Amino acid sequence: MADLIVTQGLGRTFGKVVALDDVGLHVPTGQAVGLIGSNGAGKSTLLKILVNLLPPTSGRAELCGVDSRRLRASIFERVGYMAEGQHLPRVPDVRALLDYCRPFYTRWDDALATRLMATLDLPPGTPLPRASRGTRMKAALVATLAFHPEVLVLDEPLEGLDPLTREQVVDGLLELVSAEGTTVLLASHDLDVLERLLDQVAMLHDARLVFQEPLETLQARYRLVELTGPAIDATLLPAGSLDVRPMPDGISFLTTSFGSDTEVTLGATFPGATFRIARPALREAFIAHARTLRGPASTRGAA
Amino acid sequence: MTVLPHLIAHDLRVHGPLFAAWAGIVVAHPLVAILPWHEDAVAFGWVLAAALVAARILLTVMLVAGLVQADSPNDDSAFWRTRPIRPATMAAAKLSVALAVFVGIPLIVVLSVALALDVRVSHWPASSAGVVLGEAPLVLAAVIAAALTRRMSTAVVALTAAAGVLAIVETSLLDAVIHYRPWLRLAETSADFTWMAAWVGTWLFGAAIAVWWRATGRPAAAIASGASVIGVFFLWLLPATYASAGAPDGPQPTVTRLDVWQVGHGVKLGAAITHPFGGDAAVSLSRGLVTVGSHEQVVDTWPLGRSLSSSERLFSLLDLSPSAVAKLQGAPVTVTAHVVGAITRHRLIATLPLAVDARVDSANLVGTIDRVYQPTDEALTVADVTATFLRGTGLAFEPITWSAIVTDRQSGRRRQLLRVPNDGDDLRSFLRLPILARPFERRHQSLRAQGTDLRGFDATARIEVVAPERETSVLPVTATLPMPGLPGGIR
Repeated sequence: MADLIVTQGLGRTFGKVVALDDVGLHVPTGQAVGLIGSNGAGKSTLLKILVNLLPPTSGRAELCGVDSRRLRASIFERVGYMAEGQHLPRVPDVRALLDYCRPFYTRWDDALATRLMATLDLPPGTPLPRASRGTRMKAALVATLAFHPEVLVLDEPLEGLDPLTREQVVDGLLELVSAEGTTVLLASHDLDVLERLLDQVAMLHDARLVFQEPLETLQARYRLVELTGPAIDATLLPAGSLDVRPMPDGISFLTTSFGSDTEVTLGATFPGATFRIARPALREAFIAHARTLRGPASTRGAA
Repeated sequence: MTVLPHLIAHDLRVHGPLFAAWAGIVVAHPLVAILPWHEDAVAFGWVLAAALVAARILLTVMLVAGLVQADSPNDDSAFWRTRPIRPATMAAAKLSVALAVFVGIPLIVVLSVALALDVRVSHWPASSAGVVLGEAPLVLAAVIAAALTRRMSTAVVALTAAAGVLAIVETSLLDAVIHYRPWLRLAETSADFTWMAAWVGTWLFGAAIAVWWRATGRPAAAIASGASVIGVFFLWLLPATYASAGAPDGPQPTVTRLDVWQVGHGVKLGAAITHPFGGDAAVSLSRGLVTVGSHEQVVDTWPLGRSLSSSERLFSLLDLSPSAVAKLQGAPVTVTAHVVGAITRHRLIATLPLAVDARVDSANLVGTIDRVYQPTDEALTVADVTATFLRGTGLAFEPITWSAIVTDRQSGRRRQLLRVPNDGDDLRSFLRLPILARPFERRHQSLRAQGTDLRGFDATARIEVVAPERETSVLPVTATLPMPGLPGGIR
């Protein structure tokens, strides 16, 4: 089955500012891809282009096999889009919001909406006009999931939420994704919480796609290494070592090419040194990548 | 429920309270107009009526902006843009609500006034069309401004600025037309209906261009939109629909002499022009250009009050300093202009007996004679008439005023009667009832003779109800005369 989300050579500029540059991304059907990157990396711009809120300057983006510039309104019967800061309609409460949305969808599911509200601890009578950001986000999420979307495009859906609410939102997403095989492209900084949801991770930095690969592969080849011992020469680190940082009696770094022979190689390169290897959380891996991309001096080899 | 009615119902529910407040202002306006104002409170009544008009216009723009921007077409954060709602459906919903509220409610108010005044149903379509054509341009302009901006304040400022720029550009273009293209016919000489149809059509065209502009990001589209809105004022392609009186018999307009006189610290240069229109015509100088030395001035003016004679009028041409006049004395002054004569003719609407309950029932006047007085030397009132005036709507091309002439059958003597409004009626004026209640006006009036002995008239007399009709004649005038010197006493 063709990928439901594809970008090819995608570019977008705002005046002289390059927001996206030659981005090629694909989200396989039924998978959840997390889009990570620093502020201003181009995540929101990419998602807006996908749903035709912005036109691309170059290249193309496809959603459900349709060029994003030619999307018809009916595509949103299959695609759910939610973004942090999105204005909700002027309605008094959650029930009114769902009443507003229901006539737009042929596959609207009141039972699912009720279940999601229960999962998110969101009573239907919850007032919206003066609600907290978290409450409004949860309401928007219910309105985005209750019609069984095939594709979900979510831009910072956890931004500004407290830890409990974030877990509730991810539970809500998981409920749908696991039950229906929804394809998800999600931009977020809350990598710890989302890790259990994602199949793949794609990283944007300075408008360009740094990598996109399955989370399992990423987790298999990424390790945080602390190397201690006398006279450790960082220049001898193997290729693909990122975010090399000094520490008392040694250095720490992120290796992006961990394998069965990594320990042997390190032992041979740094005789007498002791090393501690740990699997990094996605957040740690992202931070190491981001630091490296900001300061290339601490990089050894390519990711 | 399909999407369109759902969106309309949602907007009416959400914005309903504000729309109701707006409707209150609309209803208040005709109510203010028919209140029996005491003489001491007349000034307040005028201010209140003017304030209601201003409030209505401002609130219209604000509420339309609120309505449109709640689902902004150009805001990335708008909820509807990522829902299965076609832009055309959303636009149709917004336009439907805006027109239903901001045109529909005035329409209901006007037709209610018509009902209260017992206006004939046959007048309702024309009056309705007049209201629609009067209200729709403002609503459409507000919709466009709101659709192109994201904040209500920005929309209000943008619309005000656009109106200002439009006025400046049009004024400049007017001067340019007079200077370089005197053969262009200006829209102001077209009939109301033609003008309004073109105006509304242009706004719709502008809206389409504006949407296209937002979609494509091409500034050329915005320029085309602005040019089309400005261009509507220069509709030389449309026929001139004023009634032409043709070229009257008699000598063509001639500048007989130039004259200077002191005004404050300056001096005015004027031209005395003879014309063939007669003493009753309103004569003006239009699309003119006067040149003397390095001084050049566009002339578009009514004659001064100090008419020299019925066929000669004095027109102001230039403001100069006394020293400039002294310096320019004897230099050639070139005047190229058009003398416009507005000639009023009386069209007979009805002839009725001077008797109680006699009715006049014309296209724009429905009235009944309530009382007839026996004329004596002391009492010159001839009749009291309760009349409903149906003002021009721009569609019917009907006159909006009338007068009466009483004729004695036996002697054949004719006298024009003055209409004397009763106390308080003068408040129901054109300004008090602008736009909304303007199509209708009821007055109770006395018809009086102009201080003439009417004892020769009796019950066999007839009243002719006549309506003034204006015909226009435009004649060119060109002259080059020497600049006069300063008269004595001017320094």
